[in-house]
Amino acid sequence: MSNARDFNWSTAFAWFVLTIIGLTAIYSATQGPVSEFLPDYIQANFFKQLGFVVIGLLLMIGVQFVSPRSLLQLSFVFYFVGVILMILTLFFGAEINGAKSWFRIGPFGFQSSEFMKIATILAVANYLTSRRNISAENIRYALISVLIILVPTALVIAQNDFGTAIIFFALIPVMLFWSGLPYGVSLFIISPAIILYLTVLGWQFGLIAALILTGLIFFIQRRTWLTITSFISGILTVIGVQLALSQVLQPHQIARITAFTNPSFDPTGAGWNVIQAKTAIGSGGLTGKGFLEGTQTQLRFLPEQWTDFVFCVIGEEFGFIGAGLVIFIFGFLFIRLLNMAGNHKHPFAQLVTVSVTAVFFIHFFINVGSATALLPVIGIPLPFVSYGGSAFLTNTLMLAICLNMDFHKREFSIYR
Amino acid sequence: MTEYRTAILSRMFIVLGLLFLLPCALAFQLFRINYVEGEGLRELWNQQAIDYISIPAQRGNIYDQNGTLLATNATDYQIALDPKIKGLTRDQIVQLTKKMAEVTNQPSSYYLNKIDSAPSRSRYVVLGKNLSGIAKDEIKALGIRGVIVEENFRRKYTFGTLAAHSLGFVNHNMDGRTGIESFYNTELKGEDGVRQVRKDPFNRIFEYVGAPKKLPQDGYSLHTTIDAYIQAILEDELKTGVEKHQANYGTGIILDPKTGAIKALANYPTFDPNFPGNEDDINRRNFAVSDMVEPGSTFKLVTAIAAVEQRKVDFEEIFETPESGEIVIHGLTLRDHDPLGNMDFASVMRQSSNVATAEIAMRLDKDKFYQYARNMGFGTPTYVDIAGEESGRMAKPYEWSLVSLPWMSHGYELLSTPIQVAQAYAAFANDGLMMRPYVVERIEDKQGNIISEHHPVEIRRIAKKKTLDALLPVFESVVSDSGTGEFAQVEGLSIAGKTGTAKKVVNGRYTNNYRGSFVGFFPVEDPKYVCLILLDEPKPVGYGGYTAGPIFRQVATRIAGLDSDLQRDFRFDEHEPELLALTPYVEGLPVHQAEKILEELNLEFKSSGKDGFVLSQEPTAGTELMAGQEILLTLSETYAPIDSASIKEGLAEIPDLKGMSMRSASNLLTSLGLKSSMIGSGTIFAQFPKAGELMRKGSEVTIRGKARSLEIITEAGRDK
Repeated sequence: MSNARDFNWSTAFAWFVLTIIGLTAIYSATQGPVSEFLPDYIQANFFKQLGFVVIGLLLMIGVQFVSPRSLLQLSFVFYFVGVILMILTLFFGAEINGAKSWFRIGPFGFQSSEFMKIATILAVANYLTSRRNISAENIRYALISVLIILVPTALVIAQNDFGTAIIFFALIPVMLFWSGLPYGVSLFIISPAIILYLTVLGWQFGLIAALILTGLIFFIQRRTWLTITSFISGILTVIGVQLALSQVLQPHQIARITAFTNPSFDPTGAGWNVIQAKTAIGSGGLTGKGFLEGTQTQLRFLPEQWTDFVFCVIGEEFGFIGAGLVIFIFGFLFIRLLNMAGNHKHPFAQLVTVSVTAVFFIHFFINVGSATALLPVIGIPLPFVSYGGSAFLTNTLMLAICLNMDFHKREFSIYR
Repeated sequence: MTEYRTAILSRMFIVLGLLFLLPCALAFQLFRINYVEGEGLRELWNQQAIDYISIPAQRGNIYDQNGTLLATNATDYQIALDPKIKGLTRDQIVQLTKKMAEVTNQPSSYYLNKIDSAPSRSRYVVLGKNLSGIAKDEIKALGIRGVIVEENFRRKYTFGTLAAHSLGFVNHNMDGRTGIESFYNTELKGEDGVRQVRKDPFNRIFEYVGAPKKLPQDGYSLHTTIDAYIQAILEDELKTGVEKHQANYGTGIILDPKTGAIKALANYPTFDPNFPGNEDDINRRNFAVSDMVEPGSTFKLVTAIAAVEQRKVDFEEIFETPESGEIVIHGLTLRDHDPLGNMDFASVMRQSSNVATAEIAMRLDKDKFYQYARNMGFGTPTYVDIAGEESGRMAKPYEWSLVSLPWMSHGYELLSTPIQVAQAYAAFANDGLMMRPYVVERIEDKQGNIISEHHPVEIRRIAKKKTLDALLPVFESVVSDSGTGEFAQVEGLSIAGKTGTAKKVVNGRYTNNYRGSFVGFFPVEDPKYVCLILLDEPKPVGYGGYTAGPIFRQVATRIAGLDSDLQRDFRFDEHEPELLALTPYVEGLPVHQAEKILEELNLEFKSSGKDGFVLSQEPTAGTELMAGQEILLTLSETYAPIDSASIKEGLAEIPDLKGMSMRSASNLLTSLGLKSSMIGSGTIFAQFPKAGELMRKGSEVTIRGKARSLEIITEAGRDK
C-alpha cells in the first residue's frame, strides 16, 4: 500500500482552492443582493453546489482506495453502460435549455454525457494501450479509436448539446497524438479548427494560416499527398466558412458570429452577452469591486453568471488579481497533471492523465475565452468553479482517477 | 526504453508549449480588457448600473419691500418603501400601511397590496404622493427602515395675480420663464443635490444607494422693491380703467425717482402665475417693458428740455398757430387736437400743441436733439432686472428725413417702451439725475445673510438742474384746470406730468385708434413717486388726459392715503373704506404654512375640516379685504388634486412631457409606473399617447426628443 506522502497534495490543494473560489462566485451570483431577481430554484444553486462539493470530496477520498487495475479492467464496461445510458437519455431524458441531456432517476438528475467523458477516455486509453503493437501510427487502430470516440459524440449531438460535442471532438487529436500519431498528421487533424477560427475573424487570416500550416506539415512530414490534401482542405475550409457565413447559415447564427467579431453591432441583442461580460471584467479594475459589490453581477446584467459566465463574476468582484489567480491556478493544475503523466510508467495511466488534462484545458480555454471575448460564446462550464452537479462530480472524478493512478503508480508500473 | 522516454518527453514539450500559449492569450486578453478597453467599459458600466439623479433644491422665496411673501414653495412629500431592506419585518410593513391609511383616504389594504404586487425585484415602491409635512413626520416617527421620503416643491404665488408680470412664472422644471423668476433664475434655483441610484437593465430606478452624494443647496431669497399695497392699488385701478374704457390692455408703472426702485408694475389683463397655462399668451406679456410704441406727447419733455437748455426758447415768447390749427411741413400736414391760437411756452406744453412744439424743435440742431433724447434713455434698454425688456428704437440723425425732427418732437417716428418713458420722467423728477430702474434690492441666503445688495445706479445727468427747475412749473401746470392733465389732479397733492396721445400704426398706416397715456410724479416739492399709466385703444375718446389721467388720479389718491409722509398735506375721503389687505392665495398649502402666511399678514381666519391641506378658501385670492373681514379655509387631510383622486387603480394619467429633458421625462414616467421608450435625445417634442390620456400602468409611452431647434427657441422667446 502506498504511503500518504506519495499522494499529490498540491494538485488536490489546487482543486480545493478552485472549488472554494467557485463556491464564493456562485454565492455572489445567486445569494447576493441579486437574489431578489432570481427565482428560488436558482437561488438554491449555491446550496446544491455545496452538497456536490461534499459528495465530490468523499468521491475524491473514496477513489484513492480503488486499484488502477480495476479501472483498466472495467473501462469497456463503463463505456457500454455509458452509451446505453445516453441512448436512454435520448428517449427518456429531460430537456433543459434546448439540450436533451438530463437523465432522471427519482429525485436525482444527471447529465449522462458528462460521465461518458470519463468512460470514453478510459475506453480509448485501454484500447490503445492494450497490446504492444497497437499504435495510432497504424491507420486501422487510429480509425477504431476515432470510432470509439465518435459514437458518444454522435449521441451528444443527437441530444443537441454542441458544447459537450466540441470536448469529444477535441479528444480525437489529443489521444491519437499521444499514442504516436505522426506530428504532421496531428497538425493536419487540428488545422481546420485553427483555420476556421481565423477565417471567422477575417478570411485573409484564414488563408495565411492555411498556407503556413501546409508549409509546416510539409516540413515535418515530407509526404506529398498529405501536404496536397492539407493545402486543399485548408483552402476549402476558408471558402466553406465564407460560403457558410454568406449563404448557408441562418440569420440568428450569423448574428451570433457577428456578435463575436463586432459586439457593438447589436449591443442589446446578440452582442449583449459579449459586451456585458467584458464590461464586468473591465469595470473590476485591478482589485475588483469587492465581494457582493459587483453591479454587473448583482443587477443581472450577466447572463448565466453562476455557470458559463462565472469567470466574469470573479473578474468583476475580485478584479484582475482575482481573475489572474484563477488562470494561474489552472496553469498550475495543468503543469502538475502533465508532470504526473510524464512520471507514469504505464501508458494507460499516461494517456488517461493527458486526456483528462486536455478535457480540463479545453473547458477552461473555451469558458474563459468566451468570457473575455477571445472566442464566440459557447456554453461550457469552467471546471470546479461553475455551478453544475454532474460536471463538478465528473471533473472531480476525473481528477481523482488521475490522482489515484499517481498515488498507486509504483504498483501499477509493475505491469509494464 | 530510452527512445520511448525521449519520444514522450518531446511530445510533452509540444503539449506544454501549446498549453502555455493559450493561457498566455487568455491572460493577455484579460489584461487588454482591464487596461486597454477598461476606460470605455467602465464608462458603460457607470452608465448602465450606477446613475446619479438630482435632489431638487428649494427655490428661493420672493418678498416685497415690507417682507411680505410674494412667491414661495409648497412642500409636499412622497413616501416610498424599499421592501427588500435587511431587518424590515412584515409587522413593520403592516404598521406602515396602517399609518399610511391614517394619513390618507386609502385603506391600509391598498398600500399592502401595492407593496405585495410590486415586482419582486423592486427596491423602490412609491406608496403615497402629495402628503403633508405632518403626515411625513408621523411616518418618520415610526422609525421603520427602508422608508424613503422625498420632497416635492410646487411654486406658490401667495397673492395669485398680484405682481404677476414682475414676478413671472416657472415651468414644470421650476425654471423661471419670465420676469424676476427668469432674470434671477440662477440665484433662486440653488444647486440641486446629487443622489446615487442603481438602475436595472431597463433603466428603472430600483434602489437608492446610501446617503446623498451632495446635499441640495437651497436657492437665495429675493427682496424686491415692490410694495404689495401700491401694487394692489395700481392693479385695481388699472383694471377699473381698462374695463371702463374698453381698452385692449393697460400698463402701469410706479417708480421711486430717487433710486429707480420699481414700487409697482402692472399690466391688465393679467394672469395667475400659479396656473400660467390657463391664460392666453398675450396676457402673460409684460407690456411695461416689452411694448415698443410711439410715445406721443409725453416725449415733448425731450423737446422742452433741449430747447430750454440750448436757449432756443424764451418763456416770454408767444407762439402763433394758424386758425385752422394745422401747418404744412415739407408737404406733410401737422395738426393740433384743437386750434389753439397764440400761446406762450408754458401754454404750449400745458395744451400740448404739436404745431408749436414742432416749431420749437426745428430751431434745434438735429444732433443736439438726438443727443438729448439719447441722454434721456430713449433708444437704449433701461437694463431693468426683469426678463424680456425691449430696447426701443430711435433712428440716428443721418437716417432722418426732413420731417423727422418736427415729428419726433411730439413723440412720433421713434419707438419706446413704457419703462423708458417712466425712467425719463423719473430723471426729471430727480433733478436731472437718471437712475436705473430695478426690482430686486437684496439677495439673501436661507440664513438671512446678505449675498448681494442693489445700490442705486446713477446712469447720467440728463440736463442741468437750472433747466429742470425752470421747466417744473410748466409741467406742473399741465395738471391743472387749464391743462390737458386736468383729470389727473388730486386735491392737496402737487403733481407734475404730461399727457400723451399717440395714433396707432396698424399695418403701416396711422389709424384713428389711439394709445392714451399719462405720466407724472408727486409731490412736486420732493418727488417720491413717478407713475405712468398707458391704455391701448381706450374708448370713446383716445386722449390720454381723459382716459389715463383719471386712473393716475385714483392711484395717486390711494397711494397718498397709504403714505404717512404725504398725509401731512393731504386729506383723503372719509367714506372710502380702508383697504386692509389682499387675500393671499393659500389653496393647496399645508395648514401650518397657510396659517403662517395669514398670521404674518395679520389677517383673521377661520378654518373648518380636518388638518392637512387647505382645500379651498373664501374669498378667493387677490380679493381686497376690508377691516374686520375674515378668511374661511376649508381643510382636508390630503391635498388630492382631482385628477389623481378620480383615476382608477392600476391606471396612470399620461403627463405632458413636451419640452422636458429625456431624463426627467423618463423619471417622471417611471414614478407613474409607466415605461418609457426613448427615440432620439434632447428635449421632448412629441409623445405618444398624448398628455391626459389614461393608460394601464406598465405600458409604454414613446417619447421623441430632439435638440432645441430654432422653432422652440422662438416659441420660448414669444412667451417672454
